[in-house]
Amino acid sequence: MSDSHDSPDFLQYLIRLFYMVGGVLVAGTLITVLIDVMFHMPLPLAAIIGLAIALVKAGFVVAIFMHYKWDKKLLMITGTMILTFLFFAGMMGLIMWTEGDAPKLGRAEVSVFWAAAAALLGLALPASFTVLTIKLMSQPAPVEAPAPKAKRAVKKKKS
Amino acid sequence: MEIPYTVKPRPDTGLYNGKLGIWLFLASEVMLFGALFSSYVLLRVGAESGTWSMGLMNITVGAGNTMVLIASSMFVVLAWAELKQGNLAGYKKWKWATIACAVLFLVVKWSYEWPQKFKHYDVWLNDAAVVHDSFEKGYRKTALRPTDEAPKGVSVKEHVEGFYTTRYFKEQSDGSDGSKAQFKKAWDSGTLALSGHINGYEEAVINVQVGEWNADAGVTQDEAKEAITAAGGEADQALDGGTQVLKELDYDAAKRAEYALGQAGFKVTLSVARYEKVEAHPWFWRTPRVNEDIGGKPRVQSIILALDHSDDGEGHYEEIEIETRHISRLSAYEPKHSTFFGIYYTITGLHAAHVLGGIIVMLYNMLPIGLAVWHKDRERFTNRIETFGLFWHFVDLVWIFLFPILYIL
Amino acid sequence: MSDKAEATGTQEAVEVHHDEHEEHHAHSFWRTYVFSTDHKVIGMQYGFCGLAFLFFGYCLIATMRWSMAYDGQAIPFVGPLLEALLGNNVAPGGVMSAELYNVFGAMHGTIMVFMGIVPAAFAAFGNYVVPLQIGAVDMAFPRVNMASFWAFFFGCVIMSVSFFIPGGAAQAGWTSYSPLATVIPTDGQTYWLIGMVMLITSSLLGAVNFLATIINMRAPGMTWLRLPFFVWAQFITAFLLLLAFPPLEAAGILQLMDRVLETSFFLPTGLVVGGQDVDVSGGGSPLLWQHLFWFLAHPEVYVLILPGMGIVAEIIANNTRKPIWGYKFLVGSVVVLGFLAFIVWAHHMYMTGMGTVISAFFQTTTLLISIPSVIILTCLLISLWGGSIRFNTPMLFALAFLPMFGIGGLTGLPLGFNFSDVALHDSYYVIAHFHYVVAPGTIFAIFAGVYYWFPKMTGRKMSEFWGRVHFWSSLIFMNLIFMPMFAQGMAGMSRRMSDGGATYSLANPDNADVTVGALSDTIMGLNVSISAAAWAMLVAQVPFIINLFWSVKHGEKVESDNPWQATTLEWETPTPPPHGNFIKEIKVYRDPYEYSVPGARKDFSPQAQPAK
Repeated sequence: MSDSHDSPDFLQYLIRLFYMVGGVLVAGTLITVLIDVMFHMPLPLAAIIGLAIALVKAGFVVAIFMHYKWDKKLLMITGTMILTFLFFAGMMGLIMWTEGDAPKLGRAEVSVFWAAAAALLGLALPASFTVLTIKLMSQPAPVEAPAPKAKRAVKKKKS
Repeated sequence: MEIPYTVKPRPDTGLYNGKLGIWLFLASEVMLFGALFSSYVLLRVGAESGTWSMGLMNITVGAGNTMVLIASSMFVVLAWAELKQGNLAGYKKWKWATIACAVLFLVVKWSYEWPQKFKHYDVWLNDAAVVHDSFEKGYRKTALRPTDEAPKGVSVKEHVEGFYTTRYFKEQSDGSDGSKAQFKKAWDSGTLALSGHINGYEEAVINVQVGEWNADAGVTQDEAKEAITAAGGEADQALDGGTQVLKELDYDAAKRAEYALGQAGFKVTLSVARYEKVEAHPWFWRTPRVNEDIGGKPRVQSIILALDHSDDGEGHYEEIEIETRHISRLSAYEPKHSTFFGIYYTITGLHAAHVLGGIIVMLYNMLPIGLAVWHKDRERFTNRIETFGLFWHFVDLVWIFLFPILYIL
Repeated sequence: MSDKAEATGTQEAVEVHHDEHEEHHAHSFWRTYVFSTDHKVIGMQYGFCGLAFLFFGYCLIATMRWSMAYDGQAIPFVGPLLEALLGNNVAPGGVMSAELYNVFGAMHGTIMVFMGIVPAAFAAFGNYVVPLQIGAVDMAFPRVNMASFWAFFFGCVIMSVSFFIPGGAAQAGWTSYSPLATVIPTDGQTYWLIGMVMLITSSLLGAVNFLATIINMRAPGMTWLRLPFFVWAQFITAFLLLLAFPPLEAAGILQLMDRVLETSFFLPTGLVVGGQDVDVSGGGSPLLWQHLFWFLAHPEVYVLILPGMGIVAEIIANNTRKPIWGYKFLVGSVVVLGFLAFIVWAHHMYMTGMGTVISAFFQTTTLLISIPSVIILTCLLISLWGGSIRFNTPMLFALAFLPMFGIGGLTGLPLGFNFSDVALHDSYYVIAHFHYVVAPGTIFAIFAGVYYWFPKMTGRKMSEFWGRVHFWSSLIFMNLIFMPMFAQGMAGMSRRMSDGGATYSLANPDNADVTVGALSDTIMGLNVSISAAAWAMLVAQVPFIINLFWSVKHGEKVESDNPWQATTLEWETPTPPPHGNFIKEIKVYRDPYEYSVPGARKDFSPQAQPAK
């Protein structure tokens, strides 16, 4: 957390926030259990509800407890985490897709769509990601520490 | 040599090394647990109906543990906030609370939740008729007893269906035709498992018959004599070539005697003398053990199983006797029991290892050696607690997802 | 050399300054050379272990080549040794048994990949060179760095010890496919899994450290696009390790559970082994192991090759005396490569019965990934254009890397299409393909790196003459080994056969009726020539080994800190660099490869040299 958030008032505000988030998390757990006890529902629906509540809880933990809310401007953390979740989703999604796509006997007409989708995912995504990364990383590392705001404005100068 | 940015953040990245490192580490942890989650999903989607033995979890304990962990997560961030205000006493207070919560979590898991499961058994039988017969014997009384859910006179099958559809056929726990049809199929084919606690069993008492002594075995007469005397036999008779039966031994002693005498050059045959009733709650029994062949007879002749959901309202469970020759598979709720329990113990075990590691680090930060950093450089210590907190919140985060997928869904 | 005089002056000044603080720097021998936290010492420890295991792994395959060429005959010299060491049931009379062949095969792959190339290319050069090149005093977490090395070391010890346990080491191939790996009754596989968990932990610690170092420890002025390409390659490699290794760790833990606690994550229902039902619950998925394994192992290919590319780029820029052509393209390609590496893994699994749609998907991504690889190769090739090339030993190895990696890459295309993979899968064609990528590719790059940075590490150069002998013999034998394998593979010879395919040859009387498909005498005869080339290759490494050790004490002394007249920061340090690396404050003013800048006084402008 950056130094501008170190004032005593802000800390008091934070501590109140921590208690509140703790309450939210406990409530979330209770709600999950209550829903399970009170309603019987098909698995897909239960999975969606259960994981949605877990996601909300996780969001609070990351945003407040891990104070990501105040760190999200830090490119390295955000970038790494986005990458990680992208790859995690890719791993899970592609494994499930592979297992679900059972081979069919006889000649199958593969829709152009999937090849196009793969090309899009494979080219456009990393390309845009790369452009973005290089753009963001092209900020010069200041020889003297400047004010954090100023650094975006400085254009890279070639010697 | 001074490594830069160990305390103060680097201006352009806004991060000090420790924080950057812990976030990167957490990224790899996400992939680690992510892979286990993926495995869970794949195994569950691919599981045959009736093998995903879920509804056996104790939701109360699970929810309680979740809250304990949430509390510890909150305490650790409060400890950090105290440090930010320069209050070491406040830090210590919250940190001890965190450690207490973490220890409570592990104690509940390792001394209650898991051992409970290790003593609980599922028994699959190899004959549908015997399965039906056993259910009939075990649940007759209960099924006839009026309860809120089951009116008097409900059939045994209906009674069993009530809890088996939430336990093994949870995919359609709404009670739709799907789960009923699956239950009917399992009932008719006899693949339903009988679940309960083993309250006792009949185990073999073994006769060890000592035969001829092989003089070429490379053992001297004296050594052989010593061995046979130690096993409680007549030395001279044995060496003269006569056979004799040692006194009745229990299984382990018989196996030891067989090994020792075999080493000493004797021909040893084991046979069952009789079966003895034992009252005990065995742990980790498996099919090969009960079926182990001793001179053509099984090591365990029968088990006394107290069936789940068969109590008479006063804590007395209906006991049935199952002969082991009918058993096709027997397993406690250990990792081997089923894919669900396998993945359950793997993920929660790995998570518990993280909790344990966290406790060790927290204790270090409470000891004088850890606190010395505070007295030398307050900001460094605060950062250290912050990075530890990030790890601890992640451990909490993992549990937040584990709770629904392992206990509820 | 006025720069040098200046540098020496500062050095003395700083040394005086250092002496005042020397008390807590005075470490014992153990802390300085064994349990060191200095990145350079750790780098050399990694390098030494890595090279040693590369040699050991090569010895394993050289022994196996005997079995393939002369199946059933006693191995000369080595055979009695094997019999004495491992027992006469695995090597009766000095003849390699099929079990021993499997053990050596599995361990050759494991050792080469995880204990040879990763430590040598990624960890050794990364540890030694990266902090120097970015102008850092050390890694961001020196103690984590040491922990990483010792985790690696214990992993290696466990792997090595497993050769001597009853039943020998792992036998199920380096891929350890379940259920085979799970049901093998010997303990080798369990050792393998525990060893792998240690090695993975080491790599994770290392990767975190590298990333934190590169992100947070760059010298002032060292912007992202001023990083030498080697650092970029290491950066992406570290990301691959960080995110791809944990799934294998998870898979390893699951397989360990399968073996130790008898779960059945990877064992399907109704599994019968040796005519007996296996007593497990069933319900597992063998394919799950393959997915998790290849999710690591495909990125692992890039972990193996990217550091090599980085080393080659450094050396080519230095020895052509001109900037790398298309630096930004290289960086962009390496980032794209890193990203795409995660979504191509199932092309290893075309034969597992995937559906057409998903095959089309993975086939498309697989071919896409060749684009950045080709861009990198092209950039390096074009860099040679118009340069006044210095043909010294590191440059020779770097130059050989280009066509060798090119062959390896292009022969991979038929394997990327599922229709042609059906024919080539698991054949010697595959072996030739990936060995062309890693053997004359990465390993040549490692050699190049050793020759190139040796003067920085020791202050002496390695012998040029013996370097050339090493290079030309290695290049020739390397091609004599792997080129014929393409022919064997296309003729249908399968991998992992201890008799080298004799069972399926025309020479086997059982195949007298076979009209199509049996291996001809020519194809079988290649086995002998390949084996001969393999043993010659082993001999060809002797000059290198002797050269390496001899030059430490007796090599030609370098007269400056920058013997290759290079621009990057590692040459700004004294030779060898002291603890803390730089004796003056480092600031970066230039792009990494400013060679032959028009109007400059010299033909190279170091990064730390202020612009006018």
